[in-house]
Amino acid sequence: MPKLKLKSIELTYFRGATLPVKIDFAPDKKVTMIYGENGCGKSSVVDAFDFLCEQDFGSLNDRKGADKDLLTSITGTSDQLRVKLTADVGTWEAQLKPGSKTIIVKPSSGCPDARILRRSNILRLIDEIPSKRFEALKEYIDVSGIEKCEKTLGDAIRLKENELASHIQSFAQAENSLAQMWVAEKSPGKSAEKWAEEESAKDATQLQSTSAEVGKLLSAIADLERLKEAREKMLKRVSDASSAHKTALDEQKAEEKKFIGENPAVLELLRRAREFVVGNPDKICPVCQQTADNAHLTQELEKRISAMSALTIATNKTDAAKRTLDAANAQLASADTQFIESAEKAAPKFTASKLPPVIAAKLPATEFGQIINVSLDLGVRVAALLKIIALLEPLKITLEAHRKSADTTIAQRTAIASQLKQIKQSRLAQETTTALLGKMRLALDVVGATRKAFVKEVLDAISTEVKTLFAKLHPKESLGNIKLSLDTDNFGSLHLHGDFHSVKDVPPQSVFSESHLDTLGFCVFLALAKHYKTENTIIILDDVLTSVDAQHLDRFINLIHDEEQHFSQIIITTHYRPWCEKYRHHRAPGNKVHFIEFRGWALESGIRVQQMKLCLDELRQALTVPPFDRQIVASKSGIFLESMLEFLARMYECRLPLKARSGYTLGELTTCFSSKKLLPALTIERSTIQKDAVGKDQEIWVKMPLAPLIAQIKEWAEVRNLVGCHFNELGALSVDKDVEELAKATLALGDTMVCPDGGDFPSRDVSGSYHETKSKKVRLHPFVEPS
Amino acid sequence: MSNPNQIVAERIVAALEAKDILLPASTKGLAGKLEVGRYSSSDWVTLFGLDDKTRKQNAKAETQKH
Repeated sequence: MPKLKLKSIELTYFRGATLPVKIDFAPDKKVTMIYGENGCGKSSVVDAFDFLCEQDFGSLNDRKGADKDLLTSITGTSDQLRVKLTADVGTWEAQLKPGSKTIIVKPSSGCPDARILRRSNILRLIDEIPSKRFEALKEYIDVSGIEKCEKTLGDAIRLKENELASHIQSFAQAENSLAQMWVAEKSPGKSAEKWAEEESAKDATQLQSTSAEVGKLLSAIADLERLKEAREKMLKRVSDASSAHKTALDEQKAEEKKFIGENPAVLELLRRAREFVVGNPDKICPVCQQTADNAHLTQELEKRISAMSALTIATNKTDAAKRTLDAANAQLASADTQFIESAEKAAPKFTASKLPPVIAAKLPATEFGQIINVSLDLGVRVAALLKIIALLEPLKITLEAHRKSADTTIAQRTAIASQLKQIKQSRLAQETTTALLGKMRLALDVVGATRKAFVKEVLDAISTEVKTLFAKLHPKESLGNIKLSLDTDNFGSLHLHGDFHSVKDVPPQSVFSESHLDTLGFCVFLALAKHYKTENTIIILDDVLTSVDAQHLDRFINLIHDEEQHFSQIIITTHYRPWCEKYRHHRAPGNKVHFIEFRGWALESGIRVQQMKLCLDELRQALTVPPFDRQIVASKSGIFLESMLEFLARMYECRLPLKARSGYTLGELTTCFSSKKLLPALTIERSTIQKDAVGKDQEIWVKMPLAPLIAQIKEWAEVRNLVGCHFNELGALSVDKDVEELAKATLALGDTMVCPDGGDFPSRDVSGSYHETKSKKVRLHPFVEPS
Repeated sequence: MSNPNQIVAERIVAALEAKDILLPASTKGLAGKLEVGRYSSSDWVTLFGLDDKTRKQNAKAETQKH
């Protein structure tokens, strides 16, 4: 149930409010009409509601290229801008965050929910393409958050489907590989997987141990062969060195034969003598003191020295060869030592080995004993080793074959185990993923169905409401049955369909008139607002009717008053004076409406507000509140009288002269009830509540004939023309008392005919036997002119 | 006015629980995330994975009771 009652809204430097302005609402009236001609500031007030209640820039958002800085009036600054709303349940104030376009509302909660319908919204609802229409209704049916999640769920499903395909492929590959291995093994057991289970269960430790032992033995053999090869190189080197030494020795001996009897020390003496002779030009020999031929002596000395040098070279060469031989022998001894040491380490591996190839090789134990016996000569041990090595060569081949067999078996079991593991993992992954996918697909169905059902539910409910509302506005017009639907293939597109005479399910914009489309847009808006209303919802209709015929305007007004109960407040802004005048002249339940009139806007004065009254109240005020203005009282009485009498004349189709110009004089209207049967029958019946004998409320209908009231009016009608209409001398002769009597007679008729609750005349004919007001508390008899 | 996303999110969670697609223990906080559209593909996979784990734990606990 609507709870909130608006008290006032204050605009400070907001839009057209160049000066602060406060608009008071009447808390006892659910409908407020703000009337004003174009450019008076009506939309500024609507924007203020948008600003505060919806944190929105209002009509500035609807206008392309609008400068949002102009939210602030041109006389103020953005930090001065304020909108303050007061209701019975609290007060809220909105302003712009300094230096930004962010709207701050304090307090942030409890603010009324304002549903605003502007003409631009109607156009968007009706005329736009389906996607734009969706935008207009988006806030009601937008489930984009859900859509995003629905899409990610779809993506997750595709991801898992790909994973499942991958698991299936891995399973197939592993199964195929295992099957091939199984067939290669002659398909033992019941199935490849059973066989694989058995093979995988076998202990591979022995095979791994065998492979490792064979590896160690082969490594030992390789070491011994390498050392043997190194030793052989050493032997060759000793042999070569020995040959070189023997050759050098032979050459030395040959040179020595050439100098038998010569002391080798003579060579040194000869060299020194040559140095002396060359260095001493004296021709006397220092040994024999004889004259000597230095040149000849030097020549002779050179010859002898040269001959003895060859022997020296041969001797040096022999010495060098000997040293090389000694070194080679030392290296050989070292190689033998290494050879034996390695064999010492390897020997237990062979003697202790239980491997079939080793046993089959029958390696001699004696030689192994000699190898490890350190007391034996190295040569003996090496000889024993060489015997063993000769036997190791064929053993090496059998060992390699033995290891290969073990390794192959290990590799096959590893491959079997790997494929089996892959099969199990893939199978488990398939099962898990399939189960997951099943749930995710179900979830996707749930998400999609729930989303679609919600949107359909909303649209169906709205469609039903729109149909009802539209039928109220356009009864018996062979159009309606409005339906809203979402495009199933293209989310975000909203379609509108309706019936037009015999044509069913067509877009209304292609067959409806402009005014029908306007009312359709209004109905869609109202249906949505009604569907989503809260206890604090207020409806604001911003200049939604531009032109409409009297019949449809009456229905529109009736619809608003039928629906007002659903909302906290309905605020109407309009520049359409006939709408306003309908209320003022009691042709609609004006007592239910709080009227506010905006006068012409000016920069200096801003939005100017004044209260507006119904004709009956205006006249009463003019009569009773000083200063008394006889011309105004007479004029207002006359116009109100014309309004009431014209209402009655139309109701009973009274005879009036046909004129080129519309409108009738007061005189014509007071005399048109000339029928002898109508005037006496004209009666108002009013409902009043009285206490009965036991103090209980009881409804009493009081009959009030109109003939005496009309007769009284006839008596004073002339005063109106004399005082309130024209300049004439007779007017000056009329006293104020006459004017007051005219006004009193007018008020008497008005108070009789106007409903005290609704403020309307009894114009409804739903009963079929009398006319009544909307509240049904005032009736007019007869229903038709008595024949 | 209730947010349409919020309404649908709550209905989805209720439907998932009612159809036994998810356990109530797994749907805690789910509606809030769905409402704002912040539920990624991996979140969905994790959700169902966790739910599976919860189901297994529940089954195990049930077995131990008997």
